[in-house]
Amino acid sequence: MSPNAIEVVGLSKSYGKVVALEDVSLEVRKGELVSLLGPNGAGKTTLVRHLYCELRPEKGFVRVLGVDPCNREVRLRMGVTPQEAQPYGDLTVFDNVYYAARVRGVPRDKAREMALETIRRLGLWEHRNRYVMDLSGGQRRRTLVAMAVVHSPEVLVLDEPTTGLDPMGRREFWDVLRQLKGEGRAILLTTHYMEEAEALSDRVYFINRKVLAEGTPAELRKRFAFYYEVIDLEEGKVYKVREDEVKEFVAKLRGKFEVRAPSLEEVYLEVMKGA
Amino acid sequence: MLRELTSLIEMSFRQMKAYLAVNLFFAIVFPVAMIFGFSYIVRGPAVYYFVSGVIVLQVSLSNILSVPQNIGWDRENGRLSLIISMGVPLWAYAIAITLPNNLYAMGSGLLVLGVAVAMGYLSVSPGGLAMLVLALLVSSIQGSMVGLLMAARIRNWRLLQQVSQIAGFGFSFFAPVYFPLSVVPRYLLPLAMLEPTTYAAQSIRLSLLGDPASFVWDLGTVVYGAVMAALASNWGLKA
Repeated sequence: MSPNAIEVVGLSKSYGKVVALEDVSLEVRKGELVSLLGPNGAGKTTLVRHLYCELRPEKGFVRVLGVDPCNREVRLRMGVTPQEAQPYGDLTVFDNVYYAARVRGVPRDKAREMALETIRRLGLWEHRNRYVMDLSGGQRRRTLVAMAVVHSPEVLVLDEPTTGLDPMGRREFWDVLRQLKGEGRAILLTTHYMEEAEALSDRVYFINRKVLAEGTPAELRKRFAFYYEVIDLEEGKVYKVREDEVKEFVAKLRGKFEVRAPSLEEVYLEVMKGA
Repeated sequence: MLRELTSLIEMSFRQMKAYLAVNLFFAIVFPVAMIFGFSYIVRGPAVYYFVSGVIVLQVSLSNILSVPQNIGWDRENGRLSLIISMGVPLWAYAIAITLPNNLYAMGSGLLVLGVAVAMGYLSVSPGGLAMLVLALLVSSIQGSMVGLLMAARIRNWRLLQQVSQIAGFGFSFFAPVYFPLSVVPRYLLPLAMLEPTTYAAQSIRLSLLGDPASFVWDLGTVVYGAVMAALASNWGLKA
């Protein structure tokens, strides 16, 4: 049996003359959290839409838990938060989560039990009887995630779930993701936030219509770390120094200094610049 | 799939609860007020045109206007994507959106009739009442299909809002709904026959009169609705 929860092979997609994806291959293993990073228009959402069968591949194929995601049975084993999707504002938090289980075929009593449990786990208990339209942005996001996980899916696909959240809300959301990952689910996350990818991901894909780089955050930083930042704390100056010149450079400094490898964000910018 | 479908329908009814005041206003207060208000100036044979017209307006607003607006709003908020991702076929979603609107329109239509009869404004035979229920059913479904077609064809939310509002009201007042089809000039007849409410209005008015000719118009309503459904299915609802 394949260890891959998600497998994308040679996926291509165009909108008229605009190429959205070109021969993209990636995989997410069971129990792994993988982030997709790329600029706006890089094809991240197009790729994600293939994973739950909103789009069909022009070339290549997609498998989720070894099956074509257009198979309804496999979508019942997935949880998805599509980009910019909102829960139903005219339903309460409980109803949103409860019906998310019901429409997936969960029996009434079981759905009720699972909805209450999920609401409690995601910190929405006090708000369970409030209409979603009366909640904050962060609470709506949590409700959406609760709708995606209420039926205990094996695979989670989250398309920019933290966009628009304040730093506090984002950190709280990270805790939720860590908890879900800890439960052994495979998670694919698309995000614009490098620190988010770095803090949460086992592996990262940089994409811009095609896959530009792939690896763990540490591997990518190592692979693309052509220079170090040396901060002279006495003078308050920052120098970019080539890897092979670092020792010689710091030897000349008087007083305290700091040497820092490029962050994932700097690596990302470097890779995108070269693409 | 039946369980999923019934859950979706149940969910749609729950959503109505959030806007209970406006739903009750348009289902009860608005049509009743129209009947009360106009009953002093609309008299004689025109009464049947007027009462059937109010019923058609309810059918049109509940279906031709509301169905595309509900779908468009859900699409605008990414909920069609959400529905697909949950493994729910969009046809099931379409039924869940249209059915409550159909029932709402039928209930409201029967209420209008009940008020008109209670006021002694008109009388309807039991056979006529049965014909009316059938006419209301096919007209509501036809209206929903027109709404579905609009939602399938027009993906721009702003445009869909405008078109559905114009259609919802336009088909109620710029079609032979409150006046006889026979007074429509010959050169405008083809246009009138393209309007869904032309069929619904004749069918509902004739059923109030207990005239079996309403069945012919029912058939026309069904054919019209089927063409709309086929076109909507051809284009398909997309997220």
